[in-house]
Amino acid sequence: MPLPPALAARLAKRGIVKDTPKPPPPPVKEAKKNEDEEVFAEDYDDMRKPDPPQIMEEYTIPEPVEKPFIQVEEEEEDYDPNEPIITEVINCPFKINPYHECTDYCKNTYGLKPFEPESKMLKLRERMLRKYPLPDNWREVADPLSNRYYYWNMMSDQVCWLSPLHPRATVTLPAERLRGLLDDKDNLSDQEDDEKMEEGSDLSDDDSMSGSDSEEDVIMPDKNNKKKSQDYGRQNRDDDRGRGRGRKGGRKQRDELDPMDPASYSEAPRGTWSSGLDQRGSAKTGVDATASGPLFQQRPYPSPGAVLRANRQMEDDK
Amino acid sequence: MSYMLQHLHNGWQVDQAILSEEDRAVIIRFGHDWDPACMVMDETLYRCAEKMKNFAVIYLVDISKVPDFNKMYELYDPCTCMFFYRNKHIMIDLGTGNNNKINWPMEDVQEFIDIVETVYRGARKGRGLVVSPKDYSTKYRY
Repeated sequence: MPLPPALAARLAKRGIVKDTPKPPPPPVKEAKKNEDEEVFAEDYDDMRKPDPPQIMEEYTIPEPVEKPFIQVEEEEEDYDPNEPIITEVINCPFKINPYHECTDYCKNTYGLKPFEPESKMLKLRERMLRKYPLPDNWREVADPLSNRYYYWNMMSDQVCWLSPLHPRATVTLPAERLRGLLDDKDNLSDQEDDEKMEEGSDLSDDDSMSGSDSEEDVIMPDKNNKKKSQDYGRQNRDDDRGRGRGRKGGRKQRDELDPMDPASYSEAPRGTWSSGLDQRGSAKTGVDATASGPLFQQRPYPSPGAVLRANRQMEDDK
Repeated sequence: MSYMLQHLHNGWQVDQAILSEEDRAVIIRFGHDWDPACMVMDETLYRCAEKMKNFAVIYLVDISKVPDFNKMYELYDPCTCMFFYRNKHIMIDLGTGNNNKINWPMEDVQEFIDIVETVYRGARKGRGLVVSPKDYSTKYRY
């Protein structure tokens, strides 16, 4: 019994139905399109080098060798520096889920997401690059996930949403690496996110005002996550919510050693606020030495016997 | 008048004086006999000692000879009066912000007796903190 066309399309999109008699739903089409690589390059430049890079051959082979989410870099030697690299991003519907790691299955089923830059963004990008041309070793990378360009330092592996010479550019490590470094401390990131939010909000506020700011606004994607292709798939969705937001800078600062911390200028080990304090006999036994205000008035002194015992204890400890 | 009141000469005596008192509040004045503030306080203590002998007993401690409690009891003032009942420190809300002790010399005998009586009655009921019948906060002084 034939499935209704809408259901069939949906099932095919999820990879459950393989051979639909109907004209194949969009993802299947895209998978086909991916066989010739020009599809996601043709949008904005056709003067790419004509020989297809060998990555594409791997796509046609059913079992691709490389890891699914790593950004694909063409070989540097035959690379034309004026031409942006395109990150490959799998058009996987589960990318919204940050815990979802795309596998070969995702790639085979859903294909790759094409890079579709907006004309306004391209115009502003042109202007920015004219004003702030890329330094050596920096290359432009197109990110299909956010449909924006970012800039990548090939030597240091740093990334930046704006041209690194731009006054408001923040150059960081890619989110992928930072995330690996700081995975366990994820819950700490909220405050820094907030402070970045303010920065981001003033970015979007003067959207209408002047060229340079709105230029940033269009060129920088919604979340300032310096990422290579794979971060969280929700980037294009919450465009107005978390614009210009990134946790990377704040995170790094938190890890830095305070210059006033004795650990930074002497051999003292790095400790917490209370480490090294001598608690013995500092105040009345059993009462909070730091109590003040109403609490201060509610602490009774120990009895004289207890005081004497505590004194003796301190003598013994010495 | 300090020579009329009983002195305690070491920490152990202080401990025993408080421990041995079953039914009476123990008032301990920490300070120096030669201190003018303590002289005023001792005068008051001596004059009320006889009147409150049924529910309170008074001892004097020289904080130079018996320095054991100086740190724990924060004895920084020239004259400090503290109350104990059954080996327990009784706090009084005097309105001064420090509920642990009377750290100024009191001249009025009846006021002091009232405070001691309040302490005794509260302590008998098991209270650790009693409210002084008169507020000694400085806001009434100025």
